[in-house]
Amino acid sequence: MLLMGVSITAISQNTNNSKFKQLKDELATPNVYRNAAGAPGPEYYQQKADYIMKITLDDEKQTIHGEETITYTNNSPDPLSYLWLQLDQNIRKPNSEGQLANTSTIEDISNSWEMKRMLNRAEFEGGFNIEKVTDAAGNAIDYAVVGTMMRIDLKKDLLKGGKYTFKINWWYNINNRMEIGGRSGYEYFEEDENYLYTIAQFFPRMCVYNDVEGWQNKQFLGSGEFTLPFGDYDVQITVPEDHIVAGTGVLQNATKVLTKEQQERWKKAQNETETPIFIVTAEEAKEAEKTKKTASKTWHYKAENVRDFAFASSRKFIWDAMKVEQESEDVMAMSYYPKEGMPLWDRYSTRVVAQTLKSYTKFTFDYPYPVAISVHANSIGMEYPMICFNGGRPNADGTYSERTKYGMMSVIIHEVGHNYFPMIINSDERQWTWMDEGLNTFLQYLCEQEWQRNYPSRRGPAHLIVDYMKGDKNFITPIMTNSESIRQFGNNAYGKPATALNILRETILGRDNFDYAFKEYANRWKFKHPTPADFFRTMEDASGVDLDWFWRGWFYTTDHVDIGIENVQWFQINTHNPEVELAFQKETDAMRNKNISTIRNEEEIKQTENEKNPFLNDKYIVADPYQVTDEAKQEYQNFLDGLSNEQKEMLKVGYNFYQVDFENKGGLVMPILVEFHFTDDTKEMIKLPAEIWRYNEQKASKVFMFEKEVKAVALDPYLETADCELYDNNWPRKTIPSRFDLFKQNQE
Amino acid sequence: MKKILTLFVLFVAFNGFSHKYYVAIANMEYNEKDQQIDVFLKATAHDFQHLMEMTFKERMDLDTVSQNKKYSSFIESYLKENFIVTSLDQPASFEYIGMEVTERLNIFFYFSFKEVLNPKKIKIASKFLFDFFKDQQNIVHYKYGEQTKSVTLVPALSVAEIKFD
Ligand SMILES: [Zn+2]
Repeated sequence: MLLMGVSITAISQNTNNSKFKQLKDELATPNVYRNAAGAPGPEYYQQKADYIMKITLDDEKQTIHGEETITYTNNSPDPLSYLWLQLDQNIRKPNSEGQLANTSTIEDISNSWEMKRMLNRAEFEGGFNIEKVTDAAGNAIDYAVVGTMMRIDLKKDLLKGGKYTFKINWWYNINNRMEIGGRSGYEYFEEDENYLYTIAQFFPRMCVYNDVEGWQNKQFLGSGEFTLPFGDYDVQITVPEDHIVAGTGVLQNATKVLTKEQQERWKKAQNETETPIFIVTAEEAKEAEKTKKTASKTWHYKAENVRDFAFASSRKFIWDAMKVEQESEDVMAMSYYPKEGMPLWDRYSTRVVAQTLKSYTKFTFDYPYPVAISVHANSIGMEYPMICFNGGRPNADGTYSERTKYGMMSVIIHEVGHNYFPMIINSDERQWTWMDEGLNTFLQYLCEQEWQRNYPSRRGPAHLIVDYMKGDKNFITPIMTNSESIRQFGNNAYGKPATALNILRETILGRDNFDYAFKEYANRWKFKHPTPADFFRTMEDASGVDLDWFWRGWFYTTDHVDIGIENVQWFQINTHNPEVELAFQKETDAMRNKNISTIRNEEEIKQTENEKNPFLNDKYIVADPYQVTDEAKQEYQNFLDGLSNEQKEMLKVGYNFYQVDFENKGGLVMPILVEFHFTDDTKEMIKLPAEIWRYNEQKASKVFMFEKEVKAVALDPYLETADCELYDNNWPRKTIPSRFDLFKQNQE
Repeated sequence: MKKILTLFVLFVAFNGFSHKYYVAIANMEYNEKDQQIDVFLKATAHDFQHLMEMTFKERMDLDTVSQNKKYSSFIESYLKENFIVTSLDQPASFEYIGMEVTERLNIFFYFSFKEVLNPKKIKIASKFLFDFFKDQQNIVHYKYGEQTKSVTLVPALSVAEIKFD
């Protein structure tokens, strides 16, 4: 075979800058922990951290105290001489790095809200107070606090397979979430003088240690969320007697904390799959709001194989629940909300939780935990294992806008969905926000569409990301950017990766092949710690399609899609039949513009010399140049005699050939989706794979052959590729009314 | 020199979602026929609701604000003051057309700029929402003929020029 023509763009500047260059340099070399197929390797390991905790919530002072026993198991081959823990509450210590690392100018605080927030933050004495750190026997051990992290110094290395047990006593002031913000904290209800606590990141938690990062060593600055090892939790929470507590895991002592009636309702709810059953009714909650009991009660929760623990506590809680049936174990979908959440929360929350489990399960695996809880906490959306805190509050008079309703349902789907990514498929949020937010937002979109036809999803469909992607590149970062360095967080870590996956599913791989590969990824990394490379590799390995160009373009660059049709040329086969060709010649000559001299001469020159004297006309000058002569007919017959039967057939059909010239102006290489509209009003869609750009990334031409005649050509007519400019997507060009034009028309 | 900070201390609780995405996008297009620049500006409805609530110190229903004279004239003058187009150092005249709130939690504003001296070379100054969110970014796309150019405005740099040759 003769190899000719070397890619020109690909080797400019002596290095390979091709958009189709494989990702060998970007992805870590496969090894015994993570293999080349994107699966855990034969020596994959992960650490384990088990917790036994006694927690006391002080409703008088809004403080929380804990006595915590951690048993840490080293499953790695490495001896560990120290252990690291997360002290995420320390971000609220005055002058924490999280606060210092944020820039500010005087303009930032010259509005009242920012000013108040800043003053409140500066005054608030947040962060952990570590009372004592001891070994299992109660002897003090050495430790050091470094910002939002804490190091335990071991006297003796912890070897492979070894366990180490130690204890920490701590307390902290709970932040007023509504005044100084935060993923957890309390909301105060002035009207009935009650608090609603949503408590999370509330105890010193073990950091992840793995084959990729060693100890997770990125301080908590506020954006990059959490990454934690799996373990079992045994937690006793002491709260005022009239509080209701919702927590990660299964309640162990229902008979001690619930009334007889409530226990009955709980049993009933476990058999109900259509309508949520109230376990604590609105009337009971309203009654509790008034009692303000000072005696306490302890709620005992246990959770297995989770990466974290969170809980909510309040007098104000109404609680409803119902069962979701699965092929494996059934799950209880539940909601806790104050009366301020009615009439939205009682109507939708638990039902939306149930729908989320059903949709997500289809694309991943059966939900493996016994409960899924949605707690109403105003102005927020935040996820923890089995429990999440969600906003969406109706007006005080019980009315609510459509936006509030959809906002509430979307946030519940999103936060419950986080159970899959990153609570179970436990990626490192502090490194890669997109691995959980992007994948979760993608499934959120699929779930929303199953909940209600044409649900107004904010993210997912390709055309919704266009405005972001065509923006000024100085203010955009690639998806593959560390969580703390992302600009435009929402578009970058949520919208763009979700859109990329949707395009992969709808256009590049197709639904079946995508779903197979995605499910494979979910199952391979269920209860494990995947990295971006594991995701990229699994998607390629399981789908059988090399997607390096797609990851490179969508995840490693800020290029956008802008492909246009630059020209369309129409060709037909020369039939050699003088009757056809001469008639065609006559037609095209008539269409051709005559130049000005010719037009004037027709008038002005009354008679030329040869018109005067026919003798001057030989065989080349005839009266009718379009007349079919016997000579031409004979020539045609000779031509036909020389043709094979196949060639004759082709001539008879009369194919039309169209050469379409495409131009890639945006940079991001994508498949070309081109639809031909024929004169008989039928249409045909043809998909050219992205590899059409592999030799020339800017221009591509392609000849299409049809029996029918084409009257129009459209590029990406179903808005599949996030093409940023649509004016050049049609031949002949078509003016597309903008949103502005449509709005103005409707006004008139 | 010491500068005096003007403070307006309000006691209205912040009701918006504490989301992390403060982005508004203006799509501008030169309208050859009417010789004006047509704009539609998209923002997160919550952010704008916050601005309205901080301004009027009351809870606000965005779906009905355009029916209220006081609110809609505020919106018009807010946009006029915070989204300015100049050409050859001459401010273009601002014409407000209307607004709409969508189910996708977005708010859209529609307006035009007339008397743009040279539409191929304009300056855009936008401080839209900058007083309220220090992380606000205002993306501007301007389409002239078949070309589109984009700039992003942030509090530290709230003016940019777009030029076509
Ligand atoms: Zn999320």
